[in-house]
Amino acid sequence: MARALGVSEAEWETLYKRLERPLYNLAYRYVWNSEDAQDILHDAFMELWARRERLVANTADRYAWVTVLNLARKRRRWTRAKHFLSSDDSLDSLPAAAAVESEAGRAEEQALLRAAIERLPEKLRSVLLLAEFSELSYDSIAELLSIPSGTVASRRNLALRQLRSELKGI
Amino acid sequence: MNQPDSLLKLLEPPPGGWERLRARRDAARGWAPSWWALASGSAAAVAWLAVASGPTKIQMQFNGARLIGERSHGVGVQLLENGRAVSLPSADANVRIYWVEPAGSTEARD
Repeated sequence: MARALGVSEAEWETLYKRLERPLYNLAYRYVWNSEDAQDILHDAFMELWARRERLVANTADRYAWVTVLNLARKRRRWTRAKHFLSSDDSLDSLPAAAAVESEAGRAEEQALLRAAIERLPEKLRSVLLLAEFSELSYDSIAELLSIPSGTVASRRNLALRQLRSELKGI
Repeated sequence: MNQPDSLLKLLEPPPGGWERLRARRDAARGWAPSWWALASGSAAAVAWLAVASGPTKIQMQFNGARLIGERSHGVGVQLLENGRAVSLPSADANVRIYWVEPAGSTEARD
């Protein structure tokens, strides 16, 4: 039987509470700023709220992942363009988001990891981050990114190899 | 560091995220009825003004020749009540009816 359209207020709240942490982590690895990452998350959920009557509850989480991913990409492009225009071509001078991680006493390692993630091509980065944080199956990620399922696995492996190679010296 | 994927540790989002989102949603939801209220209030105000300021006599606003005594369709017309057109009730809000008489009829009536 077809699932009735519409995401209730309670389902919306449950979805947010369930996905807040992983979605935040995805967005954070794009913008490297805690507030921006949360803004992206909230923008996505406001969009989801606006469209709740046309969504089905069991596909809403997919919608949330796609929306956060798209908003994070957009925000990242905008931030990079802003830095380019202000003649600051160093990505490392982006807002010192590593401060969040420095609390754990690993600021230097995290900065290197961040730089390595930054250097990943987008097609690898999105697959890696979704595979790490979303708990979605490869098939779901493939559907979400409109790529073949086998490509998800190969891109994830390639991304990990690239990161390992860059972080070898640590 | 040999397992880069394990380095992608799960960070905690800033606290109070849900409360902020809910407040934002409520603010957005609260505004919608306000706009409706504003729009319907404005419409009601315009309607009230139309009724309240709609006496039977309307100031002469016409510059055309038809209502200032010149001939219209071959009939000379004149305004009543000292240069004022007299409006009559109309069942259609888009239609205004003014009472004018052929020139000379006043004398005939008197």
